[in-house]
Amino acid sequence: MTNVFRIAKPGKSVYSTDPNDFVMREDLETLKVKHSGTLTDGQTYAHGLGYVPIVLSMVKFSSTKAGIVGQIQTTGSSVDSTYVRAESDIRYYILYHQAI
Amino acid sequence: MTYGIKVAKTGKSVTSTNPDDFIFNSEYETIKIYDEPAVGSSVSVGAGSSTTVTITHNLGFAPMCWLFTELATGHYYCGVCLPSKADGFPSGYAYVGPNSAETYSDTTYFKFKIYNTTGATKTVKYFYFIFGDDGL
Repeated sequence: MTNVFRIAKPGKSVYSTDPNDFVMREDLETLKVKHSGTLTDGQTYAHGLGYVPIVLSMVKFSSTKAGIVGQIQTTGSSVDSTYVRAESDIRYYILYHQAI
Repeated sequence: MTYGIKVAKTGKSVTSTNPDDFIFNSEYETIKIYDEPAVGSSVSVGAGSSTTVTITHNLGFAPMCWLFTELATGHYYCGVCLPSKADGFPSGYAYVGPNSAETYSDTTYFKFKIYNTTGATKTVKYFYFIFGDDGL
């Protein structure tokens, strides 16, 4: 017997074979957040994962205005197997998933 | 073992303490999609001109947003960047404005501005994700 755990979107069937029809499906890995936080220009955060994780980051343009994913102010922030390094004020999400 | 909703990967135990062993684990926050456009959304940008696309989200906070634009037929670009030489750079091309005054999210809107430096009107398809997660 195969165990399943599925949450379909409203109006969609849990028997659907289309991944787009689900909020959550047991065979489709979700992206789990290891840590979210903010850094100022020049700061680093040690994520401790030992691999280069997927990181989503946004530049903070002001107290009410955020850049979009991939938008930079002057130079881009970076991630390696140890640190997230900010090249401007940013909000970041480190995900439990190896990128490289 | 902590309690919650857990779905382990095939061959892994739900009692594992390694986050990578799980398809889903309620101990860990997930990124949540709040809004995305209808497939095939597009905007017309005049020759040598620009157009701002405004999406009202009314979340009350500046959310994380992810944008993909078809700057050349069949070629989608992520975020803010110039297209490749094969897609017209630097002679005539489309791009998403990189400045904070033209592409950003705030407590009410997600806005982005598309420029067209070619001599003809361009229809630029786009797709975005507005996440239910803070962008600030």
